[in-house]
Amino acid sequence: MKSTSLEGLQAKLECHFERLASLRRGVGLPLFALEHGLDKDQTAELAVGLRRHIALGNRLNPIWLICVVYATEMGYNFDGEEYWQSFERRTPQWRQDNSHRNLLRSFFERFESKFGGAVPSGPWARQFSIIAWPVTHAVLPKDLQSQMARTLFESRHEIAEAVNRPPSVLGSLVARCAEWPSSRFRNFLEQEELTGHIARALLLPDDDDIDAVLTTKTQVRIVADLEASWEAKSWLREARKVASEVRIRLMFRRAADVLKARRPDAPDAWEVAEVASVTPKLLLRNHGGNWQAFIEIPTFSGWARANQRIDGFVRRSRCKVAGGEDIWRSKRWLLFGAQQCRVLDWPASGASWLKFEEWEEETVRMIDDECRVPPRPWLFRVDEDGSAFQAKGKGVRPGSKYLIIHSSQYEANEHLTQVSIEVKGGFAYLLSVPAQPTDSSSRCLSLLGLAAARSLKVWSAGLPPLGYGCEDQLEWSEQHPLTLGVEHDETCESFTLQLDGKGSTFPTGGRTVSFVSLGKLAVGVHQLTVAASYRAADGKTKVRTQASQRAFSVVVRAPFSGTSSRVHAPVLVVATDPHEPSLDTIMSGAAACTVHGPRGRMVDFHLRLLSGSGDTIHDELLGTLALPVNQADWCEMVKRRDNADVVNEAYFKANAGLLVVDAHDLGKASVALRHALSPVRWHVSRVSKRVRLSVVDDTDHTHPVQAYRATFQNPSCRSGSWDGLPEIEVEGGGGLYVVSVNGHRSSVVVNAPPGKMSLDDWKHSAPMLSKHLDCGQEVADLLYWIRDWTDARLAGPFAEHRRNSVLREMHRQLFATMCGVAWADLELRFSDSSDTREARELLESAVWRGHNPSFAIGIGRNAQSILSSSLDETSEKLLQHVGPYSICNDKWICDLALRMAVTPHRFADWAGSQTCAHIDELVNHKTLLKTARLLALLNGQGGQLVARNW
Amino acid sequence: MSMTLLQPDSVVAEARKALSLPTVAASLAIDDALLAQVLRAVAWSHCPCQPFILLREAERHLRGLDPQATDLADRLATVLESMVATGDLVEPGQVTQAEAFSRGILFPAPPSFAMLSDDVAQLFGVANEDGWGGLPDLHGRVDYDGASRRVLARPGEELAAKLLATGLRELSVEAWLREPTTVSARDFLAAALKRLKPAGPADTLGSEMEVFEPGAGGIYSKSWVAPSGKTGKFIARRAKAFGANQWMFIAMDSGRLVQLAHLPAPGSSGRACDEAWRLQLALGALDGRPQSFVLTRQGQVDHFDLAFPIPQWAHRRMLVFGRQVPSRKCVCSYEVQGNLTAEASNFLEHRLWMKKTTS
Repeated sequence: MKSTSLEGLQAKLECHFERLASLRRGVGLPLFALEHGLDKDQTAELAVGLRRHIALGNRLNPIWLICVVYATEMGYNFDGEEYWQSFERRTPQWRQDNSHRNLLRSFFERFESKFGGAVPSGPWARQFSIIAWPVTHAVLPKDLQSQMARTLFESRHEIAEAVNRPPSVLGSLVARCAEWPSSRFRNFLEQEELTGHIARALLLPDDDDIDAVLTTKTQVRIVADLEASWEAKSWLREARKVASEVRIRLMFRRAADVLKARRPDAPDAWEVAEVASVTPKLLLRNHGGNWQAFIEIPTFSGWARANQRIDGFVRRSRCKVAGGEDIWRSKRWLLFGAQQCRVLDWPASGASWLKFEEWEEETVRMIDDECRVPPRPWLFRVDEDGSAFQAKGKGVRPGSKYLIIHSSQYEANEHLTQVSIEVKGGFAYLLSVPAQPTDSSSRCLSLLGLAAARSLKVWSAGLPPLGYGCEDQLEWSEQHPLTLGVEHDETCESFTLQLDGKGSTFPTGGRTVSFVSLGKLAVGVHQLTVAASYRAADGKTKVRTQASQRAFSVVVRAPFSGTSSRVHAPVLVVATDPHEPSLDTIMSGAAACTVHGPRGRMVDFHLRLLSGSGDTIHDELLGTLALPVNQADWCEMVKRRDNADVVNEAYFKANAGLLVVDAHDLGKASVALRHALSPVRWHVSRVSKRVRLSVVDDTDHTHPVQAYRATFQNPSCRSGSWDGLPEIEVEGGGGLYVVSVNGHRSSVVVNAPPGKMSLDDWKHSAPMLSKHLDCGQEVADLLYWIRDWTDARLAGPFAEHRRNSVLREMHRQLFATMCGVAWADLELRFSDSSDTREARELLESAVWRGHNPSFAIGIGRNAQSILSSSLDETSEKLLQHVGPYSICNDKWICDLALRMAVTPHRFADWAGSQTCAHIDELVNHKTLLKTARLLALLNGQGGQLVARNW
Repeated sequence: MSMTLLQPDSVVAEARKALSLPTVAASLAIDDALLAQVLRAVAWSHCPCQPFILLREAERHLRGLDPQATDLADRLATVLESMVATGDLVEPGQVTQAEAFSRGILFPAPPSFAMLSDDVAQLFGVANEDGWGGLPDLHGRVDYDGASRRVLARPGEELAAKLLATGLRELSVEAWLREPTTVSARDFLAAALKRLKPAGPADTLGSEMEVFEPGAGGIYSKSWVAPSGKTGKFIARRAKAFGANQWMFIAMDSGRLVQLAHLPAPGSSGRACDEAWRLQLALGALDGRPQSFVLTRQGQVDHFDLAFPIPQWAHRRMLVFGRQVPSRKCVCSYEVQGNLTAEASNFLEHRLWMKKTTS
């Protein structure tokens, strides 16, 4: 595109934005540079033209609008990491100084003043005052799109309820629903009007009245880019499904409201339902004969989403739990999920369970109204597991036990006994209601103001309710019809169900259990009563008593999409892979610990090393990670770990380990770490900068202890040996030290380089082995050395690195001998290559050179599925691949090849005196061994882990 | 809004629909898959709690729906046991807050999966109030089979990547199986014998104590007897007022308690009953009276009928081979495809020292 064409395009764009600006000014909304209206090819052409224009040193001022569009397109692809580097790399002659960057900002400011363009705002925009312009004008850059889709999905039910509300309200709700947004996404969400429009465009793509804030073309582009990601697309699909269902329902409801002439500003049913779900619940637990009290506060997240004021308040104010530990809970504590706290003092009746640090009269009053401590006495029904849940009402069930908490004392009797409760300021009594009433029990109940209820059971049939509920409240999902089961005795003639004042009567017809469908209920709180009518003793008259009536409220709400319970304090689930890790596998990263719990919460990982008597001899904070913690996070943290010498000393003394996952107020979990100690082993210590090794011998024997050493440079040759119980000072930079006695063996790799080491010294200390070996016995010896180096524990900085260098060289020598030097070189090339594809193809082609290449490609494709934790199974699968090509038809030889290829460090111990014979056998099956090696290499470290029990 | 009386069949049909289960004939509608889904829904709102609370609540919501059924409580208990085995619910050893709860309390596990093969994912955990159907791209794809749930990959689909992206936690098959290391019956018993300590004055048998003495036609439930007059090594259990049974390994001499070791062994994260069952399997194998399983061929599949309970890790392994089916006059039964029969049989014979009989 020539400069003249650019000027033409500049003029065309000016016309386009002028027209849009006049439309947008009418509704008071800003314009975005992304709304340039150019298609993909035109945008690419614009970029090429601008680059050429800059390369020729032409002035930018005449084509300022093109610069704005160009910079905005860069902003649209911004990944949150770096903007200017990409900009300058793609715009070669762009002058890398601030004057040019400021020029660009001035172009955006001109766009703002001329067309009413959007102005960046918020903390992020203040910090990145130039980049903020193109990024803001990119509306929803690609890296924020998946965050947006995820938010719409995770809160789809709540957001769908607000989809027909004004964009600013919808946008505000989306902002409140976003859990742990990135700083830029938070910045985007601060533009509530825009957020609301984008959310609506994403949720209702076929809606034709949503182009007020963005041109349809721009919206279509954003949606299409968002859907390019599978995850975002599937999140969006689910969110859209819910949105369209809710929208239809809302349309019907709106029509019904018009017919009923209901006030449009009537209380929001959604909020009413959410408010009803936050009432704290008291529960008691029997602990060794004493009762303890706990208050469970459901999460406020639902209410916060429905009410912006509540959301803002609980985000910025710390709170305390009345009667609990006297500590301020962090801001947002009420949004983290349900919380459970021990109650130590009964708070005064009428007070609120929650106290806030900040004071906002109206908001605090709203919260207090829902969290007020009711007047005593309180009645708790005792469950079979020794917990007691608060019951409301005055009815008690025959044959049940109850606890009564009161501020004053009752006179004890045969049905009422005082019990011990670990809460100050009240008295607790255990009430036993007999199955058959007696005079004394009736008198006792009457004194307490209670009455035994006649048998009338009501429950949600077929489907459990959403929350734990209590006797007078049932939480139900708006998505499912509610069917009640009603059970009564034979004398019941009929029962009447009344929902929000409308009733229906159902004759029992001789049944004792009836099921009544109430259909799907609207979001909100509904009042329900069930009253049974009984035949009187004369068999004719009907009697309806209060004792045969149940009343409760049904809270209908959207199901909660989060992964932690709304009503119970969240727990963290800890898993280790493998299931029973050892101290070694945890410290090396071969075993991983994953933790699942409320997203964003921080957990500390501590490694404790324990002595034989169970005392902690070392406690180290491995790191702190945000939930959920997956395998990759774990490995990254372990890699960063500092291998200080003090740790190593404790490590050699330790008899066991403990991994402690500390989630602070969510509790702790411990994972026991096995630490296999050989009866004979090394103890490593450091004495004034020198590393000393001493032998710990716990064997019951009379045989002499033997120890030997090999250096890093010459790792398969003894460079020293000792008899007896030596105490050795590590010399010459360290190496491998092996101690053995009476069949027990233990080894350690010590890296103790001198204080100063030149690059040449490092190079000369690298392991050097001959190209290949000459006979089976030499290979057998090498296999023993591989075992010793592999099994060795590590001491000193970079010990692992140096050990790996040794093993790399040993494996090279082993497979150069067994499969040929050329093959071993290809193995190294594959291991070292960053372009693994090419190296892999070379390796595959060398497996069976000169024969059918599809054989090795097939092995390569199925490498993951062939290798399993069962050698028998792996061998069988390998045979199925090599058999048809007549490479080998003997499963036993496949076993041998797999052992040699995948676990060479175990081969010599397994084969024993047959080692040389097996080696000779394998040399005659080079193709098979190369095939097995290919499997091992393609499975990498994971393969070693899978085959650890072979 | 209208209120209408419903027949039990209609209530069950609606519940199945709400719980994302396929429609089946009314006579088969209250199947194990439904029981498991109801238990999961109850677990979501009630856990952490003792298992009996889940059973009681689930039974309450299913009350009166199958007037003919008399074994609902037993079936729920069996299904719950399978759910704990597959990992839907976890015990305190695997969660934080553990100190506040005793053994036996159950917690819902987060929604998770393990790839049994490239194209089969075993799902476990309790999703949320929306169920699995609420997770993107899983709607209608979950195959419910008793307490087990699986998803099969579509052609060319990277199932593991998709499930991870959906937000599910992945465990490797090994981590999901949580199998102990392989040992011989002799070594396993030797380790247990080492843990036996002389009984102290406070260690009494008590009236609630029962010991396992194989006999009574090999029926598991009838082999639990009072310890009076017994001599030898036994696994024993004692009911507790609250919570799960207490399990022990004991040595007795003429009805007198001589030595005992509480189960599970210190440091073990396994269940007490699992360790006890494994010990009994080892005791039987070394006494020359191994517990047996019956292998029956039925068309393309083989039935494994086990007369003795197996630990949870073994149940998980059997699920990798096949599926659990309603027990056929035994403790538990599995159905295994013919090509995996030898491996499953080998597993029971070598890892649990059981003896195969064929019919």
